[in-house]
Amino acid sequence: MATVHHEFMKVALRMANLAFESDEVPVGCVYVHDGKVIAEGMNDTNRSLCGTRHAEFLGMEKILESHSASIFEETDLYVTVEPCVMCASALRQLKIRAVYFGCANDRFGGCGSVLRVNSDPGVERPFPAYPGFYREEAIMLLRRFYLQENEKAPTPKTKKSRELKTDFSPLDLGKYVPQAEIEKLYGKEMLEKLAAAAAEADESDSM
Amino acid sequence: MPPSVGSSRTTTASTTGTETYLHHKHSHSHHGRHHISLSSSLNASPSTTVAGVSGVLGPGKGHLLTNSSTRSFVQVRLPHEREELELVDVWATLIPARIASSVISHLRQELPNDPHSLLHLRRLVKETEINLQDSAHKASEQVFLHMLICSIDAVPSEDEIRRTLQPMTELLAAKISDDRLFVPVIRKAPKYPALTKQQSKEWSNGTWPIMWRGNPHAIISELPSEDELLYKNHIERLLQLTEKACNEGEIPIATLIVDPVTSEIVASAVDTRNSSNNPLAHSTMTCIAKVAENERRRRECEVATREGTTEQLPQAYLCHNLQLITTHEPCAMCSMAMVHSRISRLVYIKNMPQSGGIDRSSGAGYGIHWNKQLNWRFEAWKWEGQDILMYDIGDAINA
Repeated sequence: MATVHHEFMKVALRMANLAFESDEVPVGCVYVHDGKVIAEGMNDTNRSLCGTRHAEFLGMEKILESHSASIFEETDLYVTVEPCVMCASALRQLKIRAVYFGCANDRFGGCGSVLRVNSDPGVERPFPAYPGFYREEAIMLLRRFYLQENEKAPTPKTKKSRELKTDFSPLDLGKYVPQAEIEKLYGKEMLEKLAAAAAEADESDSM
Repeated sequence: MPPSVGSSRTTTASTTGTETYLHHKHSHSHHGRHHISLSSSLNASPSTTVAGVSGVLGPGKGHLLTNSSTRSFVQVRLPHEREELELVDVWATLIPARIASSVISHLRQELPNDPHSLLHLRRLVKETEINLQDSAHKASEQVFLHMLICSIDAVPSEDEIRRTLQPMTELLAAKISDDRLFVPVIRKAPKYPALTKQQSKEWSNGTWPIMWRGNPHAIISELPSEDELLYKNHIERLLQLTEKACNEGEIPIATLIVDPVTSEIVASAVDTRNSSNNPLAHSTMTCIAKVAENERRRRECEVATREGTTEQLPQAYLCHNLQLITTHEPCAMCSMAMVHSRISRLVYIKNMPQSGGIDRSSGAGYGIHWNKQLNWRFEAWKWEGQDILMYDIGDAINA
């Protein structure tokens, strides 16, 4: 089901591509206010030599050049990879309205993968974070990037690590989104897909 | 505005049930001690300078902090990785005590390297001591010992263990016969060292016993006194910075990044979220960005001056090997920024019970500096010395 969220995520993916071409870890984002993109961001840690220059921060700073911080309360973020713990905390402090992301971030994710900074008890109100929008595209970009990094390494890894994987493990949507919201956001098909996947898992368990 | 006395909650770890390993040498309790703070200082006027009250130290008073010789920092560590007893299967057998040392040296030669470190486990355990299922076996006149051989993962085959033990049976005196001797059995043993003596006792109950040799993690329980002295100087610098920040209408939070090798301050920053219209302009974020900017400039200069040479000068990587000293426990954003930046040690003065990302009793209890799922860890040390007079920034601020 292609939604308006997919449209905005496409723009975020373009930013991720730009990051890829700039030798940055390919993560891109857009901030959307009143149905319009008000800022774009891409990862900039390599060029800046600063480990905190994530796409979310670059976009956010652009917005603050011309808006007061209160605009974030009515703003959504679309980012190709789940915000890390740092960015999730930053977005919460900005009181972002909602976050839509592509793929999960198993190493640093702050919206359900490693920590739940977006929804845990905290000083500011929580924000919802929805995964899965152009997830496979986001993953493939990352895979291509790390493959290329491997090839650049002084001692290239084994041949196996140089092959581009194209299979995807299923997204565990329930880990990020409350059941009640899944249909609203992802459509009936997603619920059916999840139910089918669960049934399949049960079957293989009982074998 | 006169300083208000005793209204604020206490700042010390010992009142919050936090998991600190060191009970430092202060004998007095912090419970019920009155802290003296400037009230609601966010809009404090320049005239409300920090005042020294007996025993309480403020900025601009010289090296008062450094006069104190007691230990002033405790390490904030979160041992959640090792809270649960995890078990590993090991081979053990019964041997006569008399030949124990020969058997051990024989096994040392014969067995492969063990994939599990079993150094925290006792090698030999008296029959009477061990609380294992078959210990009710009739005690004989001979002294027998249970001996740990190796983990099952090191040698999965029972036959191989038997073969390894076989030559040892020849050392047996003819009159000894016990059908358990040199028969390998599988035992459960604690996989990891215990963190406390109490835990060691609990974990050893019903499993292979742990050898308690004090805290096995080589946690530095105290900072070296040179470091203490250095950090006290840094704290005085921080207090000066917060005073200045406050006078300029900023939130009085300040951060230094220091190079522990040269003791130099590499970068310093105060919170600027008030003047910058950026709620994320926390002092830690700014300080980390300054380190990056310095390195960028340095590299640009290097390129300009070293045209034509191929020799590579060492390049700094993020904040690797640098330490961060700050007034307040950093929020989750700043704590994670330190992970991303490879900071090696955090030192801070005051816990932030609602927003902090370090102490387990703060905020959502993240302990970001010691989260096993993240790819970097750093030490965190919190001030536990005599009270420091600080501006009260309230609980709801993300520092």
